[in-house]
Amino acid sequence: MSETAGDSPIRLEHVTRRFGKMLAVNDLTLSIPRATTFGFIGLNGAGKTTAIRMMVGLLAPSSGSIHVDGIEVPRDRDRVKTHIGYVPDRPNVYPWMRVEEAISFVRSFQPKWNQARCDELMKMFELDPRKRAKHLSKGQAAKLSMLLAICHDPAVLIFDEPTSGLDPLVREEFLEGVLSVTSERQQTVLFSSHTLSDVQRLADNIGIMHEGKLLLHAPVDELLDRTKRIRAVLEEENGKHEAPPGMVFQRVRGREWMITVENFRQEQIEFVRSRNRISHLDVQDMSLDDVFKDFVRGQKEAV
Amino acid sequence: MQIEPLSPVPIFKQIADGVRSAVAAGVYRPGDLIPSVRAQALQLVVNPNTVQRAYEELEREGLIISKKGTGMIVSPDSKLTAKNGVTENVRSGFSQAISAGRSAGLSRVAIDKLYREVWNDNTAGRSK
Amino acid sequence: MIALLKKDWRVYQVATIGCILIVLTIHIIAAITFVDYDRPIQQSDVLETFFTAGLIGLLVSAGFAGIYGGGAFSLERRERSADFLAVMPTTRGRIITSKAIVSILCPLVIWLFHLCEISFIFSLDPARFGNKGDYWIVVTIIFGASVMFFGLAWLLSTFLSSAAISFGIAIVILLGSLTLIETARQRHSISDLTAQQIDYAWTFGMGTICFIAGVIYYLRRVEP
Repeated sequence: MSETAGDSPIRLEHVTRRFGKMLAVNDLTLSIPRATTFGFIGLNGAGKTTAIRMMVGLLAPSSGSIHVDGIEVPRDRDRVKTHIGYVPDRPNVYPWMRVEEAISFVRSFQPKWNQARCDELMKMFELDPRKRAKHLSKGQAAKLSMLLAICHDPAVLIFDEPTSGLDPLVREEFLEGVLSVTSERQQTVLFSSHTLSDVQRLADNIGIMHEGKLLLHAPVDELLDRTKRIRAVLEEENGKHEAPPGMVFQRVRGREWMITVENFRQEQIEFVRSRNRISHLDVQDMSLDDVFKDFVRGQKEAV
Repeated sequence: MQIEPLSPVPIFKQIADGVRSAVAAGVYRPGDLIPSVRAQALQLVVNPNTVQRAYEELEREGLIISKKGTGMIVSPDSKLTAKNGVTENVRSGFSQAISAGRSAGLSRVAIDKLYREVWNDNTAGRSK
Repeated sequence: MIALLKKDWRVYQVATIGCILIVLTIHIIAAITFVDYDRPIQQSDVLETFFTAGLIGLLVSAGFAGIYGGGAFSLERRERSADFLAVMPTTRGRIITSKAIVSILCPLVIWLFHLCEISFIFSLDPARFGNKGDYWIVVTIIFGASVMFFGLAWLLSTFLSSAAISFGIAIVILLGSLTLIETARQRHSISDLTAQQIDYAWTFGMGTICFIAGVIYYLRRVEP
């Protein structure tokens, strides 16, 4: 079991979580290879935070199993904590703690605390050690949370929307801080975000959650390579149209027919040409932002 | 070098293009050390694996070679390789522009004329 | 463990300061009655006033037992720091031990302070304060009520998110049950002694059972 765990420090198998009648996470199976960064995206309420809270042992799954760095969560949650660095969606350091107090508090629990790294990040982030957590700006609070989560050199880092609500400059500094640590330590990182430019910059693989299910899990580059938008011009306005296999989402506006397809291949174009009366066709590349939106829209329309 | 995170062009390609154009422009000359994967990743704020992938592509092309113990250096005949790479990019740019023009119904003569106009604008802008 | 104790002491700081202020106020009010006194101040007047103040203080510390119990988990949940604490590499056993130590010791110290105060006054003039047995009954009933109040609020706070609600429900159950026992005593003409024993058994028993149930529930659940 530990050999497979070596390959995937984050492993979820058929994980489901209910809140009353609501299915927050629905049969989620996910495994994240070591030393890769996984970007977790999805609309608000898609189940990302619930999934993350289960991974860090703050919430029990209704069914299914979770292993983090080879340790079963939540059964061995006390043992897993030194292996995980967790940055929550909202800072939760004791508001009355000064920055230095928060650091010594966490250090007192972490046997493998790396003080040199901590000092380096303190300097990089320009955090005032005397300031109380409740008086920190949003950006500083996020940086403090990150510093507290990262200085014990955990094998797995789990960030829940770490940069949401931060200004672009602070966001950049935050990400630089994360990278300065992860780039030398081969850590496995999972982070959720609504900022797709951050996801595209940092993630090797992405997963799209929608209504508790994982819609898609793929390498970012491959996804961009294989997802295309076919634009066809129909002979008749709002005319009859038959979509090709692999269609993710389509929209007709007047004569313009936009089809987003996955696993893009020549047959799809031929299909569109042969089954429909069209006067023009071209193929466009898509940004991650558009890919994400179309996958989610397609899913919403399928319901 | 700049990264356009929300462009449809994958970031590793953007980095590879960036290095190619830097070599072609002489920012890095043959024998120069190019930034390490980690330094480059930190500077661009991108995943180091992505930089690694770009460097692997450049290495395959022969633009850079890895030198044991020091890192990646620009290969002696890099200028030519870089130019080849850049030529490829220019070609695909033209190809896109021409197909866009053709699908809008522009004739070859009209596109030729446009090309000359743009060339003149561009060089005039540079000498200013 | 020391870091946890320091943290819990700080989490309860507001309650502790509030408690000290109230105790001080009670004694200041007791002292103020002698400023501008309408007749010469007798030692017995002073003793009686402060004896009453001590008893009120005892009742106040019973109330604070409920606040400390009710705050045990909900205060941290409200601050969201419960999550922060829950991902620290320590065991839930330690977390709850530290909480129990601080939240029991604080009201206990205040309680003992008032106990010493009234015992001291009592010893100065035992005849004045009547039967020693009566005095002990009052003290033990207040103590029993404190234990039950604490236990109930503690148990409720393991799953309720608000300290105030835990406190409120606990006080309703406590007073309601004591009133029931008292009504039953009058209706069925149970002797005072038996009624007191029922009171003790009920309050101590319930308090202890609730406290233990709270501990077990907290140790078993995954959520902070």
